[in-house]
Amino acid sequence: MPVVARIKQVGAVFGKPRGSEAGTHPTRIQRRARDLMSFASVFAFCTVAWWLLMALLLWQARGSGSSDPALAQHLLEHWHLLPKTSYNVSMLAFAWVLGFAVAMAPIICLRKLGKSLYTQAPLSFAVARRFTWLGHALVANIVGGFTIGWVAASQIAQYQLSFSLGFLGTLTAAILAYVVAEMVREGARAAEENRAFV
Amino acid sequence: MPIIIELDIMLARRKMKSKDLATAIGITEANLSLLKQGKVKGVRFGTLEAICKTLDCQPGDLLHYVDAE
Repeated sequence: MPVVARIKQVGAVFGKPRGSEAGTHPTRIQRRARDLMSFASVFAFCTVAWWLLMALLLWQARGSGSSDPALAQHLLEHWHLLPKTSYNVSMLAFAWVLGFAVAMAPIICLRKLGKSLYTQAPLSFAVARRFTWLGHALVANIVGGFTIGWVAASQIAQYQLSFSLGFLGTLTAAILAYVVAEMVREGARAAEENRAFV
Repeated sequence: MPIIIELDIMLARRKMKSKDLATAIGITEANLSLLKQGKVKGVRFGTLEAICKTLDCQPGDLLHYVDAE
């Protein structure tokens, strides 16, 4: 794909979505959808920054970087994330990739949901699909979180594997997302039925 | 479909264009076209009333039931 066309494609993803024509006031749902997209964008930026920082610190703590690894090791120790002296690089890399993926998945789904709500009718099958995928992403987040915890406990001396009920909030959100998806699907069917009447 | 819509015939009798009827009764030309073709699932009483008022006819002049068999 030519460079200019690719730049335009990327710009369209982060720019103003379709449906916001000049002169038309956005509806309340569109305003909330825009807020959702903005929130997801900021959250994504912070998440990416955090995970890149973690990767950089772990890399420097190994002594691979040009700078002194002592600072990186001190920071990791302070956050109880300093790996053992003989840790498995592959396992930690796998945990990093998995953690990044399951952290970003709900955020990406949230942004896509906001974009769907902004550009399409609220009661549509496309919006219902977005809610379903958000539910899947939240479940993946829970499962991924447990997996990463298990890996971290085996590779990081200070990390203690413990069971907490914090995941219940995410699980509740996932179930709610599935329920709302079904509600929107029913609404889309009713709207379609209504459109068939003149 | 068992319900036949004879809107075309009534429009011809009254010498009215579809576009004018659509404007008069407040529906889009696309929806009126679908109605004429019988591709709609139903007609609201309000729309039927507006059509009868505009074309000066009865619902029975527009809608006929034909046994599918």
